[in-house]
Amino acid sequence: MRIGVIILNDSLTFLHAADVHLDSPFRGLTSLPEAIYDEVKNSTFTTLDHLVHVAIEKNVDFILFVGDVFDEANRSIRAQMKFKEACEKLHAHHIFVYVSYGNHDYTDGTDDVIVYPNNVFVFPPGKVTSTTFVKNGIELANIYGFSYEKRAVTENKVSEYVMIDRDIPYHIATLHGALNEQTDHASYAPFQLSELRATPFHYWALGHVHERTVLSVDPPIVYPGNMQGRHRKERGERGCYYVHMSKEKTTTQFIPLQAVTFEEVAVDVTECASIFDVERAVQREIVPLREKTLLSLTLRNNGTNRFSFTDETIKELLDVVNERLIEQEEWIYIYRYDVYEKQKERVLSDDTFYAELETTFAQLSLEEIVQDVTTHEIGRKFLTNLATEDELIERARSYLLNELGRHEEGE
Amino acid sequence: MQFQRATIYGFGRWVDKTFAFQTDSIHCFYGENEVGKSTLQQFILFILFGLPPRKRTKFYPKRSNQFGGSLTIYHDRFGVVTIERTDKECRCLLADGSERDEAWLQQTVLDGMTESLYRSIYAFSARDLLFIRQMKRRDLSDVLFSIGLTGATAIYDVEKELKRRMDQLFKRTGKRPVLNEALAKTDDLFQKVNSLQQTEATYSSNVREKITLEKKLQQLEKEVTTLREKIAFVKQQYDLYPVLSEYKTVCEKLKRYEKSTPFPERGVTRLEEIKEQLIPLESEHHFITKRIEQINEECEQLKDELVHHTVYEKMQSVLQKRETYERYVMQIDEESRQIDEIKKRIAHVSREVGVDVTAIACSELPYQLEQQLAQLKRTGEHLQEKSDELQQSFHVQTEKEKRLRTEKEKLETNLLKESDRFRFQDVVWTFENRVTRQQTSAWEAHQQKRMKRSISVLVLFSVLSLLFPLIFHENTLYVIPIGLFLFILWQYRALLQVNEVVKREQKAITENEYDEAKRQLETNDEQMTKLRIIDAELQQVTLEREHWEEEKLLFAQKESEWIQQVNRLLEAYPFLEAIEPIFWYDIVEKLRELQQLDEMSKRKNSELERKRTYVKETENELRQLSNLFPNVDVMTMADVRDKMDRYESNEKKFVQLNEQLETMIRERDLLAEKMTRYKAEKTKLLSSAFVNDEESFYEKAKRVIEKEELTEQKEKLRSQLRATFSEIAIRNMMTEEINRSELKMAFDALELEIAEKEAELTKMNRHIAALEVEITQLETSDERSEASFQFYVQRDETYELAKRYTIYKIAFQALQRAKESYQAKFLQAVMQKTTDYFSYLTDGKYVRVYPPKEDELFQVEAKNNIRYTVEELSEGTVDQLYIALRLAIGNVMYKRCPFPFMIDDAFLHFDDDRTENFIQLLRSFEEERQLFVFTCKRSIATYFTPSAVQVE
Repeated sequence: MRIGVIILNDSLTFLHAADVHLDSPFRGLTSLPEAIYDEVKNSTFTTLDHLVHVAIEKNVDFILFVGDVFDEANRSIRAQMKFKEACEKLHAHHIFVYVSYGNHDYTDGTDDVIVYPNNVFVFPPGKVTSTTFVKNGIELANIYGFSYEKRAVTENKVSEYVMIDRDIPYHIATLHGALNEQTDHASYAPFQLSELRATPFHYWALGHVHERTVLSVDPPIVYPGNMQGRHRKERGERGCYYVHMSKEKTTTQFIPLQAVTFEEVAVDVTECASIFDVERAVQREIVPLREKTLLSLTLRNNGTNRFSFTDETIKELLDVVNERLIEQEEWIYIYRYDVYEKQKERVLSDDTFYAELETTFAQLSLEEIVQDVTTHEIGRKFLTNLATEDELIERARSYLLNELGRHEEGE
Repeated sequence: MQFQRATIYGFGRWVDKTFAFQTDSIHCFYGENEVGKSTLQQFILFILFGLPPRKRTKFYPKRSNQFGGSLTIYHDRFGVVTIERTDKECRCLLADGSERDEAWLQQTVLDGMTESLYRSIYAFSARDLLFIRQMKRRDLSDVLFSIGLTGATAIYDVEKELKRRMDQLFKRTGKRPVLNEALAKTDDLFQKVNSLQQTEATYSSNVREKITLEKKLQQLEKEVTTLREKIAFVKQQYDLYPVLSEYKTVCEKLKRYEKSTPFPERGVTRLEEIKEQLIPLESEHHFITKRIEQINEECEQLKDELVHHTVYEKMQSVLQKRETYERYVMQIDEESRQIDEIKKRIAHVSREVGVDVTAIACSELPYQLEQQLAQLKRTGEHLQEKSDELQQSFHVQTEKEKRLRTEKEKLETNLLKESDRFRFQDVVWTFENRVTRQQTSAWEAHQQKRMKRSISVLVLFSVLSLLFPLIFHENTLYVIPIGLFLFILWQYRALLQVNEVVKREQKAITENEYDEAKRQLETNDEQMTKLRIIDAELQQVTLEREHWEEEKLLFAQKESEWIQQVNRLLEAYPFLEAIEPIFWYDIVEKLRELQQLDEMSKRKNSELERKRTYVKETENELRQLSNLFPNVDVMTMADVRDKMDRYESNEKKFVQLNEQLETMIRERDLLAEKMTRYKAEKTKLLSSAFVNDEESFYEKAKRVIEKEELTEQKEKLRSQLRATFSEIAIRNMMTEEINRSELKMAFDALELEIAEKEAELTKMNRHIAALEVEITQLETSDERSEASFQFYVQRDETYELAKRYTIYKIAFQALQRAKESYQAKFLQAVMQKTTDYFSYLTDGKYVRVYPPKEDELFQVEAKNNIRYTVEELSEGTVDQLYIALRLAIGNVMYKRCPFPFMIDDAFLHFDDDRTENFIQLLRSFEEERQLFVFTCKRSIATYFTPSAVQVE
């Protein structure tokens, strides 16, 4: 059901961004080489710069930030200052900014201490409100939204989106919330797709889900995803949507903005006889990567022979490879690797003992085992999750059997 | 495995010595202490397992350069193998002639057996026996496991490796291990992030505080500015105080002039100009007026003399009467004299007649009147006569009657009352003397009468005298009436006394009484007689009276007729009333004369009156005229004439003067008109100054000038003040009452306040600057994001480490547990055998051996089911237990690791029976394995004779 007749030729362009998570920490990165450390560290800011750059280049009317501009409720000042700088830059180009805060940067009942320039409109917390975008003195668009006051906004807010001033040509709803079907994010401001489709809004600018998803093309109901991946699960291109609305049609275009890309590459090392073979195999796989990339490597041994390289050897190899890769302009850095091996036949000199071993593995209590670290005076602060990492047992088993096997076979 | 031969090149005290061993038998080495039993043992172990260089030095032979030796063994798999070990190398020579290194030796021949393991399983000495006392489960398990598992080496290696890795990664109380370090680092970063976060948390409060402070600062600055202005103002006030106070005074003074109404421009000059014009006019006017007044006065004077026209006319008219008047004056005297004579005559006649001339003056006296009156006279005379006659007779009769009656009354009064008469008769009868008595009484009566009269007079008088003071309000005068009353009372009393005397005298029938009575009676009788005479006379009189009455009646009739006639006449001529009618006739002629005289007199009188009137009138006129002139008594005609003449000349003069006057008045009016113009101008001027007179005008002018001067002064002072102060400030200062010292005080106070505020300002500025620094620092610093980034990296790294550690640990634990459970199974076998052996050794005294539990020690159960720990057993029993255990282990393990036993004086504390048992037990193993027994006891050696070797 589409209500509201667009009577003007004036078209509307804007960028739809969400989950910027400025100054967000990265997950799973261990020691980073100095050469790329700053780049990675500042990548969220760089991404924001990219966004601003695109906005100015495309001369859009405004940018929507649909929640989670900042990463923590107690947002860092640096992040805020950066955001302010960005807004100021946009202000200089007469680009408006509509911000709503999400579950990661909920207002917590406090006002912004930092004063943003006039082009910034922050949706107040609580009920859905609307604001009108005026272009050349003409009220061109009504933008609806709300900010999170607390981390958890669990009620369905869709009913609060009520279109007003229908004479205004465009009505854009911003909603930071979870599609009810999705389960990998906490269900904040949940909604059903059908509910959104039933509303007369011309564009549903969603946020919260980090994987970009176009739920609906007409009307566009879009998760732009976050703008910068922060761990190995947030792979590939990330960015915003460039939306062009006219009375005839609405077009959306994804624009990648990420400063650093997370990627995952699997390398088949079955046929690798030496560590040099491994290196070559890795090199082969890396070739197509063209962006600044943080790479997670998986070495796969699909053969029957045991993978004979030790951790140390592989680490050494990767260090060498990394050293070369980060020299490039579009650097690549392998920040982690995994080895996957097909389970080998065990040759046991004494079945009785191995039988005992298997029985033992089956009976092990992870909680008990990790107790020494999880109750360690510092460990208990950071390592309690270990008790839940059940896959560690399997990894340990695999490791142990591998080790025993190696020892038994002798070198 | 069996030892076949040991060749010693040089080891301890042994040099170039070879021992050959039989297979499957017990080899007993007997010798004193220090002969080299233990060295031989050590040599075998050295060949098998080697020795670290440090330990080797102990065994370098003193007598030879050679060190080491070889051991030939028989191995189930490889057959005969000679192991040669020197200081430098270790070689294994196989039967097929091949040579292997030490690694091969360890891997295959020894199969994970180590020296310590070997010692723990197969070699035991008296020293070792002590060990069992402390042996706990773990020790036992280690021993059991290491012996029991064929692949134990790999397991050990992995276990060792795991342990090493774990230890590298983490120690619960360590600091150096990687994970410990990483944790510490993470925590540091965590703390740092937290503290930075907290610092950032101050950002908003800082910003807010800064804003608040800036607001306050502004406020304070404003306050300081205000204070500065105030102090400057006070200072100026202080400096300009004299000016201000003067200004105030002037203003105060001016206030007095405030009420003054406006004053015309150039008022005084204008007034002066007007006056310049006006004064000559006024003086002229004044002169003329004076002149006019003079003339007027003259005129008035002339006018005074110049009688009014009427007066003049009067005078004229009077003068016209002058001739007549003077004639009349002369006639009047003559005529009045004539009249007087006539009047005299009238008076005379009227006196004669007794009638007033006036009464008859107007009466008509007819001619028949004389006749009438003559008749009347006659009748009247007749009647008079008759009346007199009647009067006379009546009088006589009356007198007579009166006299008779008086007499009779007197007689009757004097007649004694019946009672008295009787009493007197009695007295006479008794006493014949009463005549004197009667006389006395008469006198007394007379006395009394007189007294009474005088009393009455006195009473009257006294009453009058009483009135007198009442009238005159003189109290002292009351004395008189009071005195009179007293006197009256006294008189009255005297009278009463007299009566009293009489009465008293009557009572006493004295001679006098008798006389009296007698006289009384006589008199009475006499009088009785007289009375009777008198009564007869009275009768006579009454008769006469009756007769007189009749006459009288007749006379009355005639008289009334006459009276009627008289009355009729009287009616016509009332003036006759005063004259007896009988004389009327006699006077008629006289009356006629009177009438004529009267007429004449009247005529003459009227003539005279007329003249007199005329004269009088003229005189009146004259008098009136005179009255018109002051200081003139009565004017005569001549005077009038005189006056007339004078007036006429005056009048002429008057006219002249008047003419003059008129001219002057005209002139004056002209002047007045001119003056009026100027005056109007002046009045206008005055009224424009709201004053009524010049005095006020000048007064006002003066005030105006003063005011102007003051105003000027005020303006001067004001401009002086204005150079410094605002209008409002001046106004405010005017209303305030301040003195200089107060200003000074205010100045000082303000200075102090400013100093305080400035101090506060500085403090606040400093505070703000500090805040700004903090804020800027926070805004520009990426410390937090850096730290945060580092923290997450570090945390994840740490977590990864922890995961690795956990993997190791899981593996390690799994391995250990598997080992344990595996050991547990062997333990059972070992313990069974231990029990068997122990029971055997102790001749069945103990029936059961319990392995140690965790930290506990071995326990044994005696036949009577009592359990003892090893500590409770005798030394020998413990040795037996140990030996039983060692033999059991050795036997259980032997299937997997068939190494020879080495027993070094393990039965020191055994009694003979037990030694016997032990030896028997050992012998039972002889079939299956090599046994090496080292002893310093010959008795033991004898058990093994002949195979026992004496070591020297």
